[in-house]
Amino acid sequence: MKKAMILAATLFLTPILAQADVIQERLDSYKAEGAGNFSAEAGKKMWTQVIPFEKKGEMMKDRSCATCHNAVPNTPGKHAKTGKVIAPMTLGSVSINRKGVEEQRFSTVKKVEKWFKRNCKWTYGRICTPQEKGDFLMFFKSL
Amino acid sequence: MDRIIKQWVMVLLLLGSVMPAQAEEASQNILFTDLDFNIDLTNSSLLLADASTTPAGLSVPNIPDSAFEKPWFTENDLHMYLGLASMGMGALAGISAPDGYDPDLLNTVHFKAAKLSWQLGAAAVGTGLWAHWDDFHLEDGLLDRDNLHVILGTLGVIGYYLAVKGAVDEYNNAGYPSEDHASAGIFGGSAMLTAIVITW
Amino acid sequence: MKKVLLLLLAMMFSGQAFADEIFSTLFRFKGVAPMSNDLYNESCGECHYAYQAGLLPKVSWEKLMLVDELEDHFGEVADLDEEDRIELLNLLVDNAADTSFYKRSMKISRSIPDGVTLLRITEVPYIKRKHKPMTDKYVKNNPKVKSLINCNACHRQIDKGIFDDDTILIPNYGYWSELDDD
Repeated sequence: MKKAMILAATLFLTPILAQADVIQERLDSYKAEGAGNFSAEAGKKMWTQVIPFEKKGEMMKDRSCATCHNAVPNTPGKHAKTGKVIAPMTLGSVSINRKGVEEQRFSTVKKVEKWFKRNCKWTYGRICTPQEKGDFLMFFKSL
Repeated sequence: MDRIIKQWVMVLLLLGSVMPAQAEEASQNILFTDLDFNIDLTNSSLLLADASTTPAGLSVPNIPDSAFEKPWFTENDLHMYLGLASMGMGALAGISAPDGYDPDLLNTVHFKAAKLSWQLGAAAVGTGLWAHWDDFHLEDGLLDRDNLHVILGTLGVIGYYLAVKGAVDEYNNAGYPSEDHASAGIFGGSAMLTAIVITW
Repeated sequence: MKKVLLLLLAMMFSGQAFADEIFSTLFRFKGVAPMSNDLYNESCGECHYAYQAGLLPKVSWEKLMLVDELEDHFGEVADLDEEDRIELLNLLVDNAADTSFYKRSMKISRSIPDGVTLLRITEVPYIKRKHKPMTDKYVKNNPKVKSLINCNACHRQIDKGIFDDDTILIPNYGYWSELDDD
């Protein structure tokens, strides 16, 4: 219940949080979920770690974060399938949305969690642990 | 090959509608003897295959989305404005219908607008077939809006034409037109209005 | 009479840009209904063009928006918050091709045989038919188009729900009317 309250409060507050605050809030929240200390090194290692990907008995292209983002994540990536350009993973990176408005990368908790969920499933076939997510965020912060 | 058929159909249609009295028989003969609808289309697909091996043309500049501008006047526009103008002239003819007998009939707004309405209408049908040939697909059924548009639009022009022709015939034979031709005009107008509305 | 005509003509041409704006948007029902929902445009437009609901019938959207389907959305993970998913599903179903009065939506839904649930817009028979002239050189081998799923690469007024051929500009090839073969 308390967790839900905190989550609700953070979701409500997110629009006024700057992205650094979103990251800090996430890190705190992951710790509250039982993660230990976060390390940018661990995040960096996972970033390029290649996972063999198998689907319906058919081997597909091995996957890592770098498949679509980039091995050097402070440069733009390219979606493996659609070819869509993906903004760099740095804090200062912005992307232009459909309305032509600039959007900050780590702007809302909802968005951060949505993409962690989707991309961990795509790459590892499972959701990431709070520890892994925290490591990734530290890695992005260090870029 | 498609385009050639398209061109011919349009030319014939224009000829057939602009000079119906003189060209009626001739155009029908041309339509039914010279035009072979079973033209082998494999030729055009061969042409396509050939073309695809040539390098991409780079002469056309890439225009980003935000800068897209429709060509200032397109075939579609021409068709639309001709149809609207025909509709408008039809309405003007209806409004300006004289109350009684006007000895100077051929110089009245009513007559001129009516005549123009069917001529513009015929041009609209022609440009419509030209510009929207690939929207006309009979397999979709007669209730498909594009197909209905073609039918009603053509009926509209025929209505306009019959109204003018009826009035002129009466004028030539009896010296003055009766009001009988109004029904054809009103039919034409409503058919054309419906045609425009359903595909607006 | 001639003056009236001249005036009409002058009005038509001088106001062409203005008239174009009016004629392309005012009470138009010949394309598909535009999508103005922010949640939709953001959630779907993040990865691909936010295709209008009127491009597929209800049954297709119902299937596409199932939790399991979104988990494997043509090979991509596209899961959504349950709240968002329901909202988007309702939006899509309410504006689906078979509930729309828009002309192209009606053509789309009429072209799909009964009992068939298509998941890909590019498999709709009407859309397939209309794109037959679009050979590989225009689409697949065209680096700025790549696939028919990138509708907006050529349909430049798609956001307004307009698909008329005079709003088509194919990258590297130009306007529809300028193509040398059709």
